[in-house]
Amino acid sequence: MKIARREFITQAALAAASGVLLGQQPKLIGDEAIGLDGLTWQKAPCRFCGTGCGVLVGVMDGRVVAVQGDLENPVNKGLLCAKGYHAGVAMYGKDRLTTPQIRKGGTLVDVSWDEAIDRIAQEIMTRPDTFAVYGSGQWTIPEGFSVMKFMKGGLGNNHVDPNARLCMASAVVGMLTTYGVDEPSGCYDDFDVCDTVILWGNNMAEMHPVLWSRIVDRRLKGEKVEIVDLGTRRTRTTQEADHYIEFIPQGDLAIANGICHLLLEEGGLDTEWVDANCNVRQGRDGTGAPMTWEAYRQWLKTYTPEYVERVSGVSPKKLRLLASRFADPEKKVLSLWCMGMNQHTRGTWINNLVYNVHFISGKFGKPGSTAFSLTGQPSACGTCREVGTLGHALPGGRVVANETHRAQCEDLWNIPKGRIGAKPGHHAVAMFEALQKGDLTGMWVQVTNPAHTMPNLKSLTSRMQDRFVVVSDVYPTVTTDLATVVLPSAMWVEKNGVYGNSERRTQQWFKMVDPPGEARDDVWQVIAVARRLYELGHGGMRNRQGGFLFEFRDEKGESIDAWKWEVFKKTNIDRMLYEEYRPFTQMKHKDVAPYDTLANARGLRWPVVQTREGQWKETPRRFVAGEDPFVAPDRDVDFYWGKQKDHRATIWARPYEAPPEVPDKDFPFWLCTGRVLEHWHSGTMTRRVPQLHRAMPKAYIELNPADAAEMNIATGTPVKVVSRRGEMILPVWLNGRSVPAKGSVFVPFFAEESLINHLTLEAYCPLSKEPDYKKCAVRIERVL
Amino acid sequence: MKKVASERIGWTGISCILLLCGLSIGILVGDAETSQVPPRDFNPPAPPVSRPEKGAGKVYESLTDRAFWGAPPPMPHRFTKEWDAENCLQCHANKNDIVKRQQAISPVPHAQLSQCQQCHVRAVDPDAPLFTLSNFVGLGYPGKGSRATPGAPPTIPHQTFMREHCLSCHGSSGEQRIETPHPYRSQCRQCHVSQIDREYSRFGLR
Repeated sequence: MKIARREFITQAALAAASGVLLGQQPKLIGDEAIGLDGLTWQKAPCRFCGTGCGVLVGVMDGRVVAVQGDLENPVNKGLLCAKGYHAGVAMYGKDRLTTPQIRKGGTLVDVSWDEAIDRIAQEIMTRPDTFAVYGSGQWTIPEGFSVMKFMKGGLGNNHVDPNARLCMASAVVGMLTTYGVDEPSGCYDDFDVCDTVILWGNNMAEMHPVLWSRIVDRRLKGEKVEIVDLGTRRTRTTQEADHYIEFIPQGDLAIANGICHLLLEEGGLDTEWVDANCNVRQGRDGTGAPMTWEAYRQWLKTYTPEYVERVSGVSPKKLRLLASRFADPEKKVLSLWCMGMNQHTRGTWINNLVYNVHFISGKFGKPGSTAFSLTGQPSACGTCREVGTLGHALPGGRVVANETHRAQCEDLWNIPKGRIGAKPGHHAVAMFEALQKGDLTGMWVQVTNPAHTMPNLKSLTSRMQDRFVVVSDVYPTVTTDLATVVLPSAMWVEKNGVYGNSERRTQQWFKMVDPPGEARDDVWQVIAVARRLYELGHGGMRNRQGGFLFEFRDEKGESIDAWKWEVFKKTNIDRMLYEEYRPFTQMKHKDVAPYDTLANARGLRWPVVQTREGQWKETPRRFVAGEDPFVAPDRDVDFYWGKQKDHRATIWARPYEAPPEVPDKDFPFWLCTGRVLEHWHSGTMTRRVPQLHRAMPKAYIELNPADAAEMNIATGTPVKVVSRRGEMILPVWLNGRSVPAKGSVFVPFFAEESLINHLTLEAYCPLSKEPDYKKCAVRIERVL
Repeated sequence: MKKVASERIGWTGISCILLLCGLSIGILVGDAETSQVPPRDFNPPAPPVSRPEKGAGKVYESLTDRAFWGAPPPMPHRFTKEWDAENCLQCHANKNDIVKRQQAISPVPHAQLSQCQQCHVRAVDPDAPLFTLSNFVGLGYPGKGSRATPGAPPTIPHQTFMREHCLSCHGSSGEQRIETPHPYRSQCRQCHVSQIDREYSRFGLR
């Protein structure tokens, strides 16, 4: 207790000394609550998935010693999953990166920060236009924002794209094309009141466990929730489902159109809702010519139950079951999806089609009835989508191709007119293709592990070691193995941060412990490189007055030398960057709450607007009268950013299209890849948690037992999986956690010693540029 | 495993001290109250056959199985299926019948939750090699509750959220327990009050 008091007093004194700069002092929660001297609890969002659970982090003697679910956080109400509870353990792997390193003569050698920063700056000075930043949905909002300012506002170079491109780009383009602005209309409150849940290829029990419990545990209270699991694999989710509807990969396009066809032909069309809120467009190509309702009805006639069965394998009976849930006016239907729909060569189309189903049946914008896209990373929404860390984007829903948008950013950033380039930068796959070819000469990778997670690794990442690659990370990874410069980063509560989750909730946390060794914040790394470039005379690092691009001032107007670590670590630069970002959010009605308001809240869902009484009010459901302050007074539902400027959303006539690679004689199986409960993405954090690693120590391949029997394969048998791009030997797991459909196999991607992405296909959705990790063709060979 | 364990001691002696506190609380409660209460009148159920055997230092080993006090304990035994809330509840159900509840093996202390395996991962091979060693030092046991007078019922020194069924940890079975000397008394919290209750601070009552 005494220690805590002393620390607390120090923090308070710091706060008083630097006033506005530091913002409020960290709020300790129940600091007298636990009978252990010196233990303090502070709030933070979880480090892992996009659910955004609130955690309380227990700190003692300057180290994280425990994590518990935050009862007061409305996202998770005190519950966490196995990963969340161990988020603190993940920080203490013995091999944390603690010193900057530069590759000299083939090996990474410890160097000083000054040398590492100078090396990077010299490289950028030499080749500023062929340098790219590849970032992450794990970037905090200030991290992504500082990179955008550095690259697009400083270097005038738009080559910034995140790993979120591989994760939710299809959901984004789905929303942009459907209602003109990113992020969902509904929220987690809908999970509490829906009575029918349709899972579109989504193993929620393992991927979003806390949200899954939020739905399933309602049954223990006597509530009825019907769950329909549309999938290509029986999973833990299927065990709780009332109906499992198995479909042939890519058949989802036909299923959604088939439901719409039945709604129109056999009843269930909500004419009133559609007339008030929708227009219809042709969807095969990009022109999107208007379509009459009758023409759309005719167009849907292809998708008879018989046709749908032929393409998707779903029987007319099961299709009618799905349609009947939408047709029933009493039902509150919630559609959920994640990578099954997004990692799809027609990812944008299937996103559009699921909105179609909800629009046509009027199951949208009502409590419990919505179509909700789940997200895999903690700030894919907050940073990648809202800050817009994408090749074509600028903060706050702006795009580089729009002159007005560029001018607005130049004004807000106080940089000379014309600094921001009009040509979009590379999207993720194109960025790695360019690096491979040498069109890009350098790349700074932050908070992600592309040499593990890009598809078709050999064709996209095999020449990274020949380029100038900087990697900022917390542990050695297969990507740091290829790096020229490795920078040790601060992780999670070792720094200040702000994340934005799947339901538009922005959550803030304060730094709680020091990073190990010489590890430093990613924001500092960016500012330090920018400052070095400024010193070297790079014109782009100057603002309109000739001052430094990252100019911060205290309340007395004195300049803050944020590039000096000693200054940076004592100042809440995060708060300043966040407040600099906040005005960007207002153009598209994505208004985020002020930093100090967030510091006192368990996150707030934007748009957050100030009431006449001065309170900051969040928005549970967007576009809905009575909830969203931007809805026009005469409307119940208002898609105020609708593409046609008519306050309506678009129903797109998107056809079925076969996937680019289909099993054949030589490669007879579908390969699907994905996550498991215990591990998060490339496993660099969760595998360093002994409890999680021991629970799931290595990769495996799941086969359908019937297929295995035909090949005389038992559990534990090593088999060779071969695709047109690569091959790998893996042990078989039959009738284990999941059972893939006959003719398909599943391999998790977390294990760096079994990089399944050597086999996956880099083909991507032409609209969202998101690759498809869920379907390609492989064959299985017995070894021995 | 062993190396990590010894490192933990090296990092801080706190865990050890806390463990001793934990043990002493058990002894204290036992000494203070067993002499005045009838002996238990039922046989505790046998542990699952596949439970890994643990020798001396059992409590310490258990703590290392769990990353810190408050982390969901990994499942210490094999189980039949990869999805088995129903199977879990065959042994761990929090039954309405008091005798059955007392006989259950570590009955679920949070019956409002049904997805056991989203938090409790398997630990069937606790000595399997680690991916990398860990420097994590976990929070130890919460220590003793306090007593108003010698012989008064000790207070509950930890939060009760997710720990709504005392016999899960203080019953006749289960890991890391401080065993109650009077399991036949079912209304624990009529005597043992919360020293700490986060729910109070939640509503601003503290």
